[in-house]
Amino acid sequence: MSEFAAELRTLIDDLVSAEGGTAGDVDPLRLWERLRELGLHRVGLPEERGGSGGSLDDLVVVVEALASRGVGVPIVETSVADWVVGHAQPLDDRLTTVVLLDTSTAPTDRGPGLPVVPWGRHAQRLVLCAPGRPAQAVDMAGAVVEPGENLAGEPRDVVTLTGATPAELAGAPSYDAVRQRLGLLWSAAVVGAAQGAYRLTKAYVAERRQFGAPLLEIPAVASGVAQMRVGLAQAETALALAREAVAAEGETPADVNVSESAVATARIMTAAAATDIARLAHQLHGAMGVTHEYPLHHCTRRLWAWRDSVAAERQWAEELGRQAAAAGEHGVWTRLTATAY
Amino acid sequence: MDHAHPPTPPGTASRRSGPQENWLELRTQVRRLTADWRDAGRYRPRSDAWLRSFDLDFSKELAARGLVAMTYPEEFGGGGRSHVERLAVTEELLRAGAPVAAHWIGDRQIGPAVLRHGTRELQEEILPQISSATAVFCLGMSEPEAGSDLAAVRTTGRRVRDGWRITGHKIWTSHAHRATHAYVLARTEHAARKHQGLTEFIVDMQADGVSVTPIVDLTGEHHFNEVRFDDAFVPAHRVLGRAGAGWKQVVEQLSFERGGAERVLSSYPVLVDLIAATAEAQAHELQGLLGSLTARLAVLRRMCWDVARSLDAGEAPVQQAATLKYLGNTFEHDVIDALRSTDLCRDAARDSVFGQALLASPGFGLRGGAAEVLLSVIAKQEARA
Repeated sequence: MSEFAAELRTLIDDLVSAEGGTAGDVDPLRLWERLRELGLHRVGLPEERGGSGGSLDDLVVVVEALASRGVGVPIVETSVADWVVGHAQPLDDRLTTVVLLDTSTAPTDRGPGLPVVPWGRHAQRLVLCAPGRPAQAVDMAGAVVEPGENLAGEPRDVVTLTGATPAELAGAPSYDAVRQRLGLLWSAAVVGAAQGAYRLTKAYVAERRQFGAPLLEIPAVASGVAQMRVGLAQAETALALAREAVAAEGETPADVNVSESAVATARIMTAAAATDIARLAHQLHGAMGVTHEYPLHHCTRRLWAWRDSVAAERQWAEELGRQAAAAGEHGVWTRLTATAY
Repeated sequence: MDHAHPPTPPGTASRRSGPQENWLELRTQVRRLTADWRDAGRYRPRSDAWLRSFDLDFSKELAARGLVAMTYPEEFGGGGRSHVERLAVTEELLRAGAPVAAHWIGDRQIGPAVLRHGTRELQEEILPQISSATAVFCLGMSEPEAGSDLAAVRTTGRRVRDGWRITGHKIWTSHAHRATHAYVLARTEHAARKHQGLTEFIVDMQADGVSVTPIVDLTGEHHFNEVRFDDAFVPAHRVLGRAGAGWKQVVEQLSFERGGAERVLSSYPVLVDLIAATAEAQAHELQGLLGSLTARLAVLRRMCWDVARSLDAGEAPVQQAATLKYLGNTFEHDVIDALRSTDLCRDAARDSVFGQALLASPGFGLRGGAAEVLLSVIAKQEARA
């Protein structure tokens, strides 16, 4: 666990509050500027490469804390893109985003464009990662951007590269390592958004009165609150497992395999919790929760968008299941019990 | 929380070598022993073995190897080890579907309760008997009119010269017909609040006035019983903790009862079959199911570990244990249900891996606290938080 966790959480809470408090009032780009001024966008990257220092664990705390307030800023994408670039060259001020490609074919100007580029319209540089190929970076100047949005209304644009040719990033982490770091950070984001949805719901059912008493007095409502709580506990535990597994190995790409299953586990468990928590949060909020004015949707739409971001829950589950089947019961058990956690 | 006798500090466990090495050594020991017994045909692995597979010889064999009463101080015949080390052993026993029912309840919760609240005299009497698996405990908590509402117990304890007289009717008492001792929660005074005036006793099953009648469960097996106490005498020193303070103590005991790996692994033999079936079929649907279940198991194991660490720190993680039990029981059911995506469920025999697990499964979410009650406990705690 990050030794700065409490401090970082307070810092982010104060920042979000200063920018308007509830997610609906916060301008994500303004908040992003504030985060950049403070260097929070590059926590977990070494100072000698232009980062802000601190550990990956500290970054996890930052991502989770921002998400728990229901705000979406490009922290996951840019911190991973910067991490990749930082292996090859010192970081500059350009906003860099990252895209995982399914195939090993490089995008060309004749191609159909890259779908789902996170924050593409704001990005000045793009990192491209494909299985079995070195990562590449390309300047976005001259790129054609067709705006799109994910379920939470965050930019997910179609980008067609017309100008610069992508250049290899020497010494960059492997595709699997990038995917794993994204997996860990998206898990943290989902946990944060789930905490936010839970906090709002708990407060709502304690305040809102029907039949002469708070909703929480209705046993089925109390049961729903408890189910949200245990789902959240499960997601938080899965995230803790993954953080520890990744931290125990250091961050070198060569060590990826050992913590692979811990990250897959975190993605599966946080996604499953996202599904239950979003459903229950809306059910317990009644019609109030479906209005644009009430802040619940800032959390629940992010839960829906982020649970299947980069790779779907189902995909992680099939991968983990395939590994388990190949390892056999003995292998599964040995792996599970290899550590205390 | 103040404890008359704090548990052994966690540090004592690692005096031989690092904790990691200890775990592996313990795991290996259990794996060898269970394999030997299984290969010799001395037991057949099954689901729900910790409740249903009773073999005093096996429990005594474990005791002789220091695998019972592991967390008790050595002066009482225990191992002076941590709850985390005990968890490594219980996990392996459950994985093997081994016949551990004879010592499970005494080892898991009665010994720790006696350690926390018992007098020195009671500790010296009871703990060595649990450590050697000579005492077999049953739990006299539930009654016909006190199920989930445990504080509604009607069994009474009446103070007499040199002790107490117990009268009442307990039900769903697993292995009472084989037990040497019963833990009994009884009302000893009529207080304004029902959580006051309860007392915990340790009663000899051989005492005059104790009678046992069987209840056969839906599988046709007999582990449940009704136990009647008709003015049964209990010597004064067999009161556990303070008379009248039983409620607080029994709630604490629940963290031992609910927070173990048996709340997760009751249907583990089914998961073994599911892994093999997935390897054979190589179907995406099965892989997805197995992947999700594996992920849940990893998280539940960690929750067991967190509970064990809290116990090692002398805490009573009631809330954590309730969460673990609720999620663990759901997992146990879902493992069984997942096997229905294979052919292994088709016309399954009642004594097949699937059949044994499914027929035992209605009990998973009831014993040790019904799922609904656990959720209500959690909701109440959250409302206060």
